[in-house]
Amino acid sequence: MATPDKSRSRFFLIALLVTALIIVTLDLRGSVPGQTFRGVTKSVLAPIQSFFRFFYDPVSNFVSDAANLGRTSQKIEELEAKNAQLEERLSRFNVLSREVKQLKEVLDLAGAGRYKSVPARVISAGSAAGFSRTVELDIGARDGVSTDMTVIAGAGLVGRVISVSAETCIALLLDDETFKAGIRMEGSGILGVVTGTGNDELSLTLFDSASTLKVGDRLVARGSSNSRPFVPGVPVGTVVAVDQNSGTLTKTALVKPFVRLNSLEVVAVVTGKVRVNPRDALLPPAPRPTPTPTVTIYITPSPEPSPTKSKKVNQ
Amino acid sequence: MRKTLFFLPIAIIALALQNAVISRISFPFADPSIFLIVVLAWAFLEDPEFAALQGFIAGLLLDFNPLSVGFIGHWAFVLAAVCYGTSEMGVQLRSSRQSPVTLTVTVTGALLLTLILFAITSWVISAEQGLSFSRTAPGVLFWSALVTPLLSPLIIRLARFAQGAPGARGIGALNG
Repeated sequence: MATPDKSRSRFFLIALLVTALIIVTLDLRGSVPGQTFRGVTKSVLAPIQSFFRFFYDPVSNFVSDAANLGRTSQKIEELEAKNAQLEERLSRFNVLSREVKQLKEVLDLAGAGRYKSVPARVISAGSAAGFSRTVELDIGARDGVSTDMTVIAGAGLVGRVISVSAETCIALLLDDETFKAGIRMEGSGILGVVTGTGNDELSLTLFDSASTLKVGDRLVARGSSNSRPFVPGVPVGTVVAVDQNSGTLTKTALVKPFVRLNSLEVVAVVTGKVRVNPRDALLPPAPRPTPTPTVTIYITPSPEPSPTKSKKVNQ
Repeated sequence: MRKTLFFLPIAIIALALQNAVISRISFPFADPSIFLIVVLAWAFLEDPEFAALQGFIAGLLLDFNPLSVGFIGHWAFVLAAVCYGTSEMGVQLRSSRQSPVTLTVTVTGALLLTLILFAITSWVISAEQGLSFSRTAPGVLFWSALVTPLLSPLIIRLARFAQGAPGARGIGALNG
């Protein structure tokens, strides 16, 4: 038989259980504002949870980092390898896009001049120490290339083919000291010869000493019989300095080539005979002179002399 | 009343610890319920009447926990009943009540009973909770068996301190 104390405990328990069931029933009926109570509990728990998180989070992060150390380093290695691959591909893409651009330019020039040409890639260049300004191209006799054919780039004349093998050929660049090419001045049509100097500029000799020659004049290839070694109309360069020394039978000047010969990548060899002389049509548009800005300054004298003798300047 | 006031902050701290730390650690099987271990261990050391009350209060606290989704009053019902029974068992085992082994075994058993009762009552009221009982219970019990011996000295000391108040009839009364 239960003692009175135990009976009271059981009665108390039953009262609590009934209370709990009433609360559950009310909540089932939706009569208990559960979210309100949970909001209150949340606000009570929040500062204590923040306190625990303050200590727990750094430890958790450290443990997580330590646990992921192996995976992280492996991931870094994978990403580095992938990055190297992508950089290599990007580098190749840049080279290819540059070559495509140059190829387009040279094909545009060949198309405009109606030159039958074979595009080529420069695969090696002569050493400066050998005093030979030559390049090796990846096309040869198999591609229809033979000696004394014109080599062009997008901007103009590059040189001429001097030797050919089955798969490659050697081109002499126009800045080589042994290079010579007949030219024609733009507009006037005066004839002359450019010679390589081994430097960046070419030497120009005009046969007519009475002709006028000034800086900025441009010249194109005169063309040879049967278009070999030079096809007509290929842009050569611009006069950058004129020798004013009179009393000679010829007139000389320095010419800067249109083509940057030190950075050749894609060129074309003109393999067919030219039937129509394009004359000056292949020259790039002449540069417009840059207007010089002028500044006008108006000085208004001061009506009363100031003690410091200063002038008022209005612009 | 004083014991209730003493118990309430401990329960709140245990719940906050559970929410902020314990449940965020990915334990194998399931995470240990520090809150339930504290409540049940405390009940084991208390007299039945107060154990039922503190179980009811702890249950309401769990019902009002922002992370809970069940019906309010559900946990209060379960914990009031289980805490009363745990306390009754403590009264029966008065000689070994302070033993960590007894405490661990009793708390683990009470925890199993709590989970079973919760699952059954959930089924009765169609609360759709406790469905993962078979998956959760082994892990919870495993961790409870591991954690309770570690917590028992602290819980026993706190309970004894709380029962040192006038009117205490738990450990202090029993040993006194």
